[in-house]
Amino acid sequence: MRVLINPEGDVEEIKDALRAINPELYERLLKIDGSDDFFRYMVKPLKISVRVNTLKAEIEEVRENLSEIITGKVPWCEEGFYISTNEFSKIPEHQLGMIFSQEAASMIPPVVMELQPGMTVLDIAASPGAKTTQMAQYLHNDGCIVANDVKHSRINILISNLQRCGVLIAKVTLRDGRYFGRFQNRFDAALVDAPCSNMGMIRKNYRNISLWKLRDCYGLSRLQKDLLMAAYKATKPGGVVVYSTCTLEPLENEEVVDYLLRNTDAEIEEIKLPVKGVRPFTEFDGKKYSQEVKKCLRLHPQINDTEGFFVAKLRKP
Amino acid sequence: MRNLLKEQFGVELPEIKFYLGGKNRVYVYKSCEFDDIAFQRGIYFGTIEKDGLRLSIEGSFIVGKIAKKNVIELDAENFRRWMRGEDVEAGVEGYYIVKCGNYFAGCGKGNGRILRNFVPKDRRIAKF
Repeated sequence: MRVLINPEGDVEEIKDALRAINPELYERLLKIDGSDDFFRYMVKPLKISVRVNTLKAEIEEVRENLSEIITGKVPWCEEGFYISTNEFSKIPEHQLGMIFSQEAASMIPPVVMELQPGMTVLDIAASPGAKTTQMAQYLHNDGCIVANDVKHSRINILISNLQRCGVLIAKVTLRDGRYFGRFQNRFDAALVDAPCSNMGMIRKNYRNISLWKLRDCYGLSRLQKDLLMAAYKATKPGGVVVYSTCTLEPLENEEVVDYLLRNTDAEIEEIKLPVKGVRPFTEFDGKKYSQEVKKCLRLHPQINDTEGFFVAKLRKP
Repeated sequence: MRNLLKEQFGVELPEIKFYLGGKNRVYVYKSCEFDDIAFQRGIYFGTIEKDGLRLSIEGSFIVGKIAKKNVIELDAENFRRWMRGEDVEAGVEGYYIVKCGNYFAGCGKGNGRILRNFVPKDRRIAKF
């Protein structure tokens, strides 16, 4: 039976539809945030946003030239703007690689990495490359980004986006991310934008409703812990490691950060950006996490009208 | 390659490395300690044709900002046509970087009357 979701409909109808498509997901969402607003925004179509690629263009010039379609500024990213169209092939700035389509919440991780020109950076799960290209612009195309992905099928889109954005400093690698644990203390900063169950991406694609399984989250959580540990080992003392996902599942978020905090000397730092989060879980489903995970940024879709997202900023002492 | 850049556009790019791929396609990158483990490094910069260097869109952004010659500035209307993949009228000969303000859109080849368009299909715009 095909179940239709009407994002403009009554919240009870939205809940019924979610329950009918994936009862396991529905129960999990209730535990994470049972509010009506949460369910309403979980299925509301996403606002369209772009980032100005400062490797090719000046922010002010693009803002002026696209003034007819720009509807607002992304508060936490200087280069980010909301626009009123998704017909990107009609926008010359997009075709020339001067702007890049990127969800507003996903602009946060590179912003908090404290990147400076000349740095050597590890992006352990880089495809499709939105954050990689954003990092390249903060490095002013000066330094080095190891842009890794494990899947050959995802490498082409990464290479294509690096091309379009004019990134000269990326080294694309095709490895299991855990491989990078052997590069002890070699990177100035690292990003683990981890493969996840995509619970926060339901707004982007309703297919994620039926695809979600709690069983997958346990396996993903183990992988995420390994990837974060590998990135942490590869980072130099004093360096920042950012962990992010597009899921709201605590097994893939707080639990992973808690694992690093318990097994290393990593320190977690508050994310100081003009973005409001909800209180991270220090306890969920019978598990207790370090009080330090309160410093993570947990974005539920109704708070800033974004996808569901999670970010933690960690530092190696 | 460096001679070609100097000769054709009056440009030197000392910090950038080049390598030649198949079909005379030139790729550019900046070197670092992880070059050896890279599956791919660098981006497509342009193609060495028998009569000169034809820059990609990305190549034209790198070179165009500092080029001393062989750059043609189109007005807004002609730049729109260029981005749609159309040839435009221009009294130039050889490979020219096409620009409109700070927007660079690859190279065209002039025959003294028409500037031939090389914007790839997936980078063209349908209409404004």
